[in-house]
Amino acid sequence: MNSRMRNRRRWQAVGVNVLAWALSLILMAPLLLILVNSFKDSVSASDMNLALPASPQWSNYSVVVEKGKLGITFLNSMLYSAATTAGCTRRCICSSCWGSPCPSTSSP
Amino acid sequence: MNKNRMYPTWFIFGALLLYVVLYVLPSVMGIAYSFTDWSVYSQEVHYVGLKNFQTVFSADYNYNRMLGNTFLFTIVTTLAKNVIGLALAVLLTKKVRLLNFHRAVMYLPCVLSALIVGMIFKAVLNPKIGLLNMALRAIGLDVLAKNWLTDSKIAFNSVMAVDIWKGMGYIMTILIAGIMSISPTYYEAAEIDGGNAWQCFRHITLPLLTPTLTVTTVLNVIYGLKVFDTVYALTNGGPGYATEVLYTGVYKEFGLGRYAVGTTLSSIMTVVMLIVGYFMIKHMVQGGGGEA
Repeated sequence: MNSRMRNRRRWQAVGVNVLAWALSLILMAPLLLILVNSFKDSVSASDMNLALPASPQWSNYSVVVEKGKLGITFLNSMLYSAATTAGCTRRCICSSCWGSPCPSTSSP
Repeated sequence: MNKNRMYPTWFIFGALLLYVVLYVLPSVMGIAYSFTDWSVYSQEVHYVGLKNFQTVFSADYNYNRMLGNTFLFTIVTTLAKNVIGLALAVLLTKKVRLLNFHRAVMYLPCVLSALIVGMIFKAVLNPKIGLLNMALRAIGLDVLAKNWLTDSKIAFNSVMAVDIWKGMGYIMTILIAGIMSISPTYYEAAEIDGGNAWQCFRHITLPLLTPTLTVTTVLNVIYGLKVFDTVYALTNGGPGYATEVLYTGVYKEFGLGRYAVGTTLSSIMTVVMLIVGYFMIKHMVQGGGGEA
């Protein structure tokens, strides 16, 4: 590989990395908005901008856990996900196996 | 083949029972109700023939617009998600530093609930204090700052753009799996033959990704035809009827107690989905057969 080709590849790699970072930042901006505003008090959070909070309100998280009953809602979501995944998988396996030959010689 | 070696018939009963009770029966009942005058005001339900269908397809109401918006949404988002998802997949199968970080960031929007996405983008697209308009003003592009969700001419485009932002990571992930399953020997052979990046993409990646792209197209079309939550969370069909899609319309009809018109709209979409689904699955099966 000559130096010209190596140089070209190096610039290509730089371009690909810059593009990946630019796209990631654009896609991340709305998500950062949630994160930053979750540390603000209700007045400054109503502006919904990317400015960092003057003093981080960690208490917002404890309010959500206590008043929002995060424990029980999270548990409900987990139960829902587990039950539907298990139920769907079982039904789908059973129905897709129906009518097809068993892999082993013993009865199923 | 020895019948004793087949899986038993009762294996299908559980799935079949759920399918019949939760899908077939409500669909048939919905189609039956679309021929009646069922509403919150009616004491008894009467057969009215095709009156509800005449109402839905009449130019006097906005139902045609809902149907048009639904199809437009489906076509635009399907194309955009596939094209952008493919571009991202190609980019993120190259040698990129922190590859998994980038993949995770781009996949992240699709794990968010549509209601959360709606809330975020209501803030981002706010005409006065929204992030997008502020960024445009900051770089001197004031002329591009718009009322993204309240201007009836661009609101539907904004809704589609948000849905594309939310869904392209999912398509990207499926396509990355597809690209990674292509043998590197094809690319090595192309490189020896002097093929450039575009030629490799055009003659190796794209043809070998066609079955995967068919799957993503089917997923997107089905999602697009039954879209509700993103539109409801962002604009609730407004301003006016500018962003109204079929299922926000159905939701409003049921809310107003006009159950028969609601079921008529659902029935029309069920028939459309059956037709689209039939041809897509037929195409997929033929594609799979051709490959084998």
